[in-house]
Amino acid sequence: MNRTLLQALLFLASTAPTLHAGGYERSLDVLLPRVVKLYGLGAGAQAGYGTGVMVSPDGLVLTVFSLLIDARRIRAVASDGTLYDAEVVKRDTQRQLALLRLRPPSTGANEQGAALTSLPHFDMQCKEAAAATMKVRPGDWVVVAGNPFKVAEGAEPMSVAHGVISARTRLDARRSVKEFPYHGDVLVVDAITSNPGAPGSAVVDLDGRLVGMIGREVVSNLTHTHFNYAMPRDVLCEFLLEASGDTTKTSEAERTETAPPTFDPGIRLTRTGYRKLPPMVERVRRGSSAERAGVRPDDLILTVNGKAIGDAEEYDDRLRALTPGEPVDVVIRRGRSIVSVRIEAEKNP
Amino acid sequence: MTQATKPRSREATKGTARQVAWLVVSLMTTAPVFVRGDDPAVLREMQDRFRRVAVELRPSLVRIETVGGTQPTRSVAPSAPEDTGENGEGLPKPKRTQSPFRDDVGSPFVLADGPTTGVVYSADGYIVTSSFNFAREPALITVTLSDGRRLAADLVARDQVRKIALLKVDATNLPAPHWADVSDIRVGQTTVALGLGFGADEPSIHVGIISALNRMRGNAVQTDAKLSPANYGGPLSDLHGRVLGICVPMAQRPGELAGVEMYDSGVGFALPRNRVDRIVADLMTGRSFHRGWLGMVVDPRAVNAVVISKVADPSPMKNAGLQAGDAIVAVDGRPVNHFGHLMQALYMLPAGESVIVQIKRGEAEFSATVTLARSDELGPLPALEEPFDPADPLPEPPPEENP
Amino acid sequence: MIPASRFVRTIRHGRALLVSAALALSVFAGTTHGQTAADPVVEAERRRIEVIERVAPSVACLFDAHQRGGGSGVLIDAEGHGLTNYHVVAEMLDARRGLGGLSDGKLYELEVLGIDPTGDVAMFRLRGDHAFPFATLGDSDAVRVGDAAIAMGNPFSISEDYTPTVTSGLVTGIHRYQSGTGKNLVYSDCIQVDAAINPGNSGGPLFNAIGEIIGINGRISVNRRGRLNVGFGYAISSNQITRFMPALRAGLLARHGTLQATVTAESANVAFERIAAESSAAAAGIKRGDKLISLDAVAITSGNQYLGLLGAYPADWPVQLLLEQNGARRNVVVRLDPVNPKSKKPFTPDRSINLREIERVLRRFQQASFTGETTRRPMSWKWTIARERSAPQNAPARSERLEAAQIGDGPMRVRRLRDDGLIGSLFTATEGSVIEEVSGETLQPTMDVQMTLGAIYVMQRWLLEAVETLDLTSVQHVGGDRWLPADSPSAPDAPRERILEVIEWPVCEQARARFAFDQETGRLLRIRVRDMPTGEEVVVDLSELRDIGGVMWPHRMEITAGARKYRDVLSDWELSP
Repeated sequence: MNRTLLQALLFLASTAPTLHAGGYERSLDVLLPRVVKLYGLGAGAQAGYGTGVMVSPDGLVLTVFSLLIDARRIRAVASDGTLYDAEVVKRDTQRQLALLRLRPPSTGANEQGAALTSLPHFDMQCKEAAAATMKVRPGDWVVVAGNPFKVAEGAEPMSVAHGVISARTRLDARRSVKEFPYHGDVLVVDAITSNPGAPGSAVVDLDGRLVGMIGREVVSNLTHTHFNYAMPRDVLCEFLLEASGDTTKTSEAERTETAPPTFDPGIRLTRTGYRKLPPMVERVRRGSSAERAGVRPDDLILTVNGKAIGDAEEYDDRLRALTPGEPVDVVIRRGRSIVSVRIEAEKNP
Repeated sequence: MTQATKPRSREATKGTARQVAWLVVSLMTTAPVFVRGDDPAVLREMQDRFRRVAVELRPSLVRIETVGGTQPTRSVAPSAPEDTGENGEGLPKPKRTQSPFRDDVGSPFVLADGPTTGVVYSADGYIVTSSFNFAREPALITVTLSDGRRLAADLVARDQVRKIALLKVDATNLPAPHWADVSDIRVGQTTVALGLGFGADEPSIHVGIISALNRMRGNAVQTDAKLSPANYGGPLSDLHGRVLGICVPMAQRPGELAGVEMYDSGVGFALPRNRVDRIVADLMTGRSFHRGWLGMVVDPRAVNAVVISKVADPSPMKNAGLQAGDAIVAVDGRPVNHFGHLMQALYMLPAGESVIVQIKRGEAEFSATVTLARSDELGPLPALEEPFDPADPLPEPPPEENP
Repeated sequence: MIPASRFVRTIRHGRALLVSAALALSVFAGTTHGQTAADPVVEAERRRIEVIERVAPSVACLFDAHQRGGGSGVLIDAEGHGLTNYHVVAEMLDARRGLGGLSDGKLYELEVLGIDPTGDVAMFRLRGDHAFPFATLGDSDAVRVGDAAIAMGNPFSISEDYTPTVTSGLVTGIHRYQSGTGKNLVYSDCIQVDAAINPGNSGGPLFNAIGEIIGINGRISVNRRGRLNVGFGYAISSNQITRFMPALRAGLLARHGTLQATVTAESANVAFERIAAESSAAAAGIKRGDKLISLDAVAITSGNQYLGLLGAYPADWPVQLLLEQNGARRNVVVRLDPVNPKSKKPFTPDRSINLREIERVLRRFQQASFTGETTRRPMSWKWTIARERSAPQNAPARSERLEAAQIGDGPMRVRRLRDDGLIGSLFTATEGSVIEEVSGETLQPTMDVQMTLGAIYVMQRWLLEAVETLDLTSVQHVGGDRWLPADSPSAPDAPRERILEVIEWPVCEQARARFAFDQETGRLLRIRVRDMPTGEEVVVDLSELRDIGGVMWPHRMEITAGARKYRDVLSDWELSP
């Protein structure tokens, strides 16, 4: 195009009242395709959920230790709704970080699935010297994307939070009564990031550069408040560059902590991510207390200990609220009849 | 894009003019009315502004550290009576397990050991901070100035109602900050809360806006910047580094820690200059402020009225000549329809302040001045002469006020 | 904008023109925005303060009649109408009374109007002797993630002077779903924000950067810390509320709609699975396996999205579905079936509120209709109808000319003008009954004809009558409706989508007509007449308003009676007072 015309138009554009695209648009454009929703699947119930950050075009995902890391199976849902299986390829007990690799969900016994390429990701540039100096400063705006409270499902965009970087300081914190093993640098974030599902959320600055990843929920020893922080990018890089060697399972590292074990009677409900599905039994684990009590596939769970159950999520909530060691009374609709069963308690492994 | 090769005719030139006119008009009409929020240039500039505020105010911030002291006894519920025995003037007083007028802690919050924040009040060594930071009654208080000097500090006095405290260190020429004019504070203006509670040398930055003026009975401005033990006692600044107020935990109920449970909730409070000056003037004389009590118990059966069921002796209510059966219909001119109203009228008043209560006794109405007292100045409540019988007719509640 | 290629052609000879135009425009831009170049941060702060100062007076702190409890609300007109959450007024429903405090420091008596328990919305009105400050509703569909969001309300009931608490943040999610308790308090298509929302903010407004209401705050996610803000607040979108506003203003219990149909999704392809046999969807011919391409022009790619969007519509609302049935695309409009909310006690709509709204709608219609000095309805009307009958398919189009007259309180007579010049009297219609006049050629009027004429009779005889003289005992304001351009594709002055207010009026013994008036202009856009015993319905869409001697009256009626469609063009009016 003719230069004069171009100059004239640019001049116009710069002085005309701006059609604001919103100051965070760039951050959001970069951020949302590069985070994945993570779900841990145990036997019969969801074992934790969180967020992961894509760090390579072939499916490496950075995340944080949580219940889901030790789950039997980890499911990842990308921003476009694509489902993946994920397996842990590296752990770091001290930094409480984990690296996962995505695979297309296995469809057959021996099928590998096509190799993943060109997935949207953050180019970590860990080896570049420039990257080391590219540190975010207190006062810088950041945008955080993750899936706290599992608000987003499937291809729905994740939830976003925003605030400035409050400070950079050393972490001195605990999880319930146990001291948190990481005492290195963290970025304090001026946004509430201490929420279930938030760990693993990506934090980017106004230019869309990854500056950190939200860490595990902890309480600061200095203030006794729930601490809103991110693991800085350089610490993430340290982890990525280290050769993997730490294979300690999360549960072994934190035997005495976390919530009381959920009673798992061995019932797996039908779940497809479709909201408000009635709690219908898909499978009953062989040898489980539910099987002994007579629960069968296709049973519809009506009440647990007298409380009506509307959907699979309410079922999970009810299980968590149970007193360990106590039997559970379940009323079931089987075909046209109503059946009551009592599931005996058993110690959780 | 192709290049035109045909020679231009007059028609074509006229067409050009038309097109240009259309271009100009279309650009002007797309000039938008709709603004989505701050644009990227403003956001970037704000980042530097926040840092400048932190740099500007850092010299006036001090890190407060304490040694010793005990965890204040936790109350199960904010209003559950619990004896702390404190009076803010030195050693804890002996427990008085009989009295129902116990100054409770007001929050189940567990206090931590970390450093807290203070602001230089005057060059001669006075430092203002939040009384929250001394709820543990520490044995020793140190203050670290921005130049690195660590000094012992005296707790001059504490206001447990308006939640600020005054320290004194042996130093001169301390840099006091600039304060914003209270009359210039506007709802919606940007606020930056600074604190040293995360242990770093640079202050932490929390950004928000002024949410309201005139809260907590006119004692505080409100902000949605995240306030917590990390910045209680520190400054709430405007965009230009001027102090809007001192950040403190607050709630609409008495108690030293009342409001702490709302940390980081986006509902935070700061005492502006006029209140700080007024209170510090008293604190400087060594006068502390404590929760103010009326010395009475209210009849729980009266639903839309406040009826006295017992009056302590001695007590402010007793001294004012009030008795069981009297109904309180207004406090300082504001109608009181239920117990919550009464608490709202009283919760920010320290012992020593007076209120005018409007009383209904039978058919008569009269007003009385009541001067609130400290809990340790109150005597016991009378025992009931007869056991309470639910079948007894209720005392006549006052007629409902029409608001 | 002009295509680039045209630019190129103008370049060689238009350079001077363009450069001077650019300079002129930049000078213009510079002079209006020169001041802002000084300190953009302070300028942005000043703008925000200004917006807040402008709209904060419209925010109310709500209490029950004893000034207990805490919620928030926002006023939307000078008469004191306001919006809040249903759960804020749920405890006030016995007496329908409460209190609202405004920034002027005063407490006003509050009257609860209509409620929407499923969507958690309610409308109230403050009583006062002056014009109230109010805010305007914006377009929630224009909201994007990252937009500024300002919430106002009374969290923790800390406002002692009734000034609202203002908190600021961003929109952090749109089209979010938050389940309710059973059928109530479902936030099916809400806006998510990180502006601090705490208990007490319920019912208060969510504003965009320019001070328009884009939502009503009512929910938060909470973690183990308890019931306080952790950066996840949810607001019912303004566009959802707008659909329910006519019903809420009229004091009704507003119901949400459902298709009574489930869907399955296979990688962004959504298809209907189970359709209830007695549903309107089934009646509209929707079958299992039919693909759902879009709902109201929004492409549907998941089951959740389908449920979420549908949940924002009222019962009986016409929704446009684009389907693919057996490979062919088809547009279907289905009126949603009702969802019945749970309620502890039955909610009886207040008749006086309903009546007030009927009178307001009629007065506004009359204001929109009378153009000149007269406000008296014409006593006699005569006009000609050129009628074309189209549909059902394969039936030949028929045209005929009719003559109609209605004198004083007498019945309306319609006569067909035959080609041979002879006149055949068709039928007459009067309120309450249909009389056949036998003279010349007679025709047994079908039910749909009776209903149409009855409705038009009511329109001419009663709707222009002075409101004070009307006996409105059997007239009801029944809520809202929607008018879509598709309803009248050939009408020349067809407006965009309009929200309608609907007054139900008995037409004859067994038929009731629903007159639907444009909420903004007061124009009568549509009449739906229903034969109660059979459920047969005739729809009359009115357009082409023209002045006929002091009265703005439609000159065009599109009548749909089952499979039959008529297009009536009216002309040759003779009116006399």
